[in-house]
Amino acid sequence: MTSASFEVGVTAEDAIAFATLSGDWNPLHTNADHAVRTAYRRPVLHGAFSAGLISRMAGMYLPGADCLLHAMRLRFAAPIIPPAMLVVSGRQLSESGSLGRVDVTISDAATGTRYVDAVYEFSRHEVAAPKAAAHTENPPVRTTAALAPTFSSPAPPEDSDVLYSPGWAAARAVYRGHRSPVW
Amino acid sequence: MDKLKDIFRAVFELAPTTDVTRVRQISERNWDSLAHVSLVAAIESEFGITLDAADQLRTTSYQATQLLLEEKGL
Repeated sequence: MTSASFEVGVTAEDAIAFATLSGDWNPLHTNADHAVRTAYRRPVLHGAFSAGLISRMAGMYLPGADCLLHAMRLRFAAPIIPPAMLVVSGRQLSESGSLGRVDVTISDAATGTRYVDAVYEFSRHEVAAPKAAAHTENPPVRTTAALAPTFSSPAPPEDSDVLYSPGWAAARAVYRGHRSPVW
Repeated sequence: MDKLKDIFRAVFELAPTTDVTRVRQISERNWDSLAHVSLVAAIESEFGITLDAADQLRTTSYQATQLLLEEKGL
């Protein structure tokens, strides 16, 4: 059975960085004065930060480079209070036809306490070989090596509150044309 | 440890027939992050103690919690 694991240290600064990136400045995650007046007493790491670690498992390990993530389900069993050292462990449960399923746990590296249980489903996308140069004598060699991102950052979009993604231009065209995109 | 059993029953809304001594974080569907901190708060309130961060990470089942309290002389 295929499995993978990696360790991640998380700090209060990481929570702030996540808030900056996502725009989720909920005070339970970012304001100690607020958090101390809740049942949690201290700022709790965003649950969606954990979802990012699940994404890392899918995109980098199980299955890795050709992953296409279909669905993800998480259960937050205990609050992650930074600083903490986490172990993210994945175990592929199945892959039949076009769909695979992976079970993931996020635990405390020191005590083994389970913070998050998750399951995700994936398929694999195809990657075309690089275009051959014209009139080359030797055909291009198809490689199965992991692909690192090769796109460069283009000019930012007009809307200042939207982060760029490679499919942005097409998505924006859909959005402006129909006002009801299906994401 | 009847008091601890009552706490577990209340926090996780267990059925009267549930064997509390077998309740574990990984298998109890009502055990989420809010229930976890509620469990800690209830133990602190009922037993008059304070559980530090390391203690709170040990409350992962009824039996683990019972052992923790026994180590504290309760």
